[in-house]
Amino acid sequence: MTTRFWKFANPHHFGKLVVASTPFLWSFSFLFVATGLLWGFLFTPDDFRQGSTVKIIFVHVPSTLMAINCWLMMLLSSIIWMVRRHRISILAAKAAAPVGLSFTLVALISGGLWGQPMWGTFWAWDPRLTSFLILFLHYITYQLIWIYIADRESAANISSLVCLVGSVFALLSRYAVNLWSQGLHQGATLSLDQETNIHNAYYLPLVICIVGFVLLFITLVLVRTRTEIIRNQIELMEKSRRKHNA
Amino acid sequence: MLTLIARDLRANFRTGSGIWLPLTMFLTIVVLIPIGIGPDVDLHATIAPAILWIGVVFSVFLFLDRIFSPDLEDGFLDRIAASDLPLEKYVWCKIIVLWISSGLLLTILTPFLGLFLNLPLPVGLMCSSSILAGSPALAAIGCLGGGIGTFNRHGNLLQTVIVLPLSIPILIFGTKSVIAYSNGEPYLTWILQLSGISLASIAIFPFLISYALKTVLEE
Repeated sequence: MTTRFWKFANPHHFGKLVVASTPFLWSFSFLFVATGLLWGFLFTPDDFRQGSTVKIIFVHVPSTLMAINCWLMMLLSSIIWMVRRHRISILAAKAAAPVGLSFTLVALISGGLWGQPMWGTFWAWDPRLTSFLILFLHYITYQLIWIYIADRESAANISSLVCLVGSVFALLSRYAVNLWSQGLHQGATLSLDQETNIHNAYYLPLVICIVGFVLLFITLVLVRTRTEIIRNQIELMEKSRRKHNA
Repeated sequence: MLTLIARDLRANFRTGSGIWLPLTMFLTIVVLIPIGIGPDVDLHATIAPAILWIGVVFSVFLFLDRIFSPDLEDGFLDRIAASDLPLEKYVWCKIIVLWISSGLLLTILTPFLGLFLNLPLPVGLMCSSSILAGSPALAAIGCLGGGIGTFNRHGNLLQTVIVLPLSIPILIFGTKSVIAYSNGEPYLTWILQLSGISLASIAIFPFLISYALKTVLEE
């Protein structure tokens, strides 16, 4: 099993896997996201207190979930890069960063749009909101390192270093902001070990949306990673051609 | 190691700016914010811990670009990397020097400047002990930023965006401890946690920073 997994550290095998699987991944993620969002937006009843604003949950919760999971995936890839030096691993982290950044931004903006009619404010310095803002800052730092360090090898090393340190400090910040008094944000909507706090009418479309966002994330990261590999190869070829000409 | 620390400290004292600039920065922030707010003394006392702590953060991060780049330019860093001295020890010395020439000096100054902000002396002393507990972690974070900032001409931008998110938990714990103390709540936990973060940082960060410096040297 393990040898089979590491086989995809070979860019050739990885590329073949991506090319073979993307049509299915694209169609399935489109299917799930479209079904979930259409069902959620059009065919669920309004909440008796929140009105139709409750439907923002179908975008907000999945993107929040994916924003955090994307960072975890980047952390894992960075550790694999530091330990085993598989180039695909760090390129996958690089490819995932803008996707995670977008999910974080979507989560923040959709939360603000919901908060304005419900809480009367777009933003509050609430523990959950603040820790998400901090996660957003970490994403920006990570992204800027890839933008501004030109040499790919150095950028890979430094970005994985920053991802590692950033994870520890993001956790610390999460713990630190929890010391502030309980804020506006409600507790967890879905959880694995407790009863869910959501009405049955919203539950199924929400789960479909989450599955769709997960599939969309996997698709985007695989496709973007392949792009990065190809870009890497093009750069190497150009470098060797320049050396050849000179 | 002591020789290294003494060498850098001497350099900081001789040039003058290495010692005086963080102090001036700290003083500027502590003076300008109350002036900007106006003579509302109660408000000053409420936000005094935040002002002092933000002053410390700014002063420690004032010239991160000067931590490693002089040594990189005159080749000292290459000599260290080639010598028997582990790069981690050299980095550790740099963290200590940065801490002494900013965090430690500001710790001494804090209770007096706290008086300006209408902060009672016991609270001011509490504030300075929380700064004493937290500033080593800030120095370690600053050295990480400085190490990564040595990369290229965008280094200044990089080091700023690196130290910004990392300093957030330190700032929260630091101000939380002072506010808890002045409200009469248990405060020792926050100080101890802050010290824990600092000790862990000055133990672990040298390895991370020298990893970054090795990448720079290989480039």
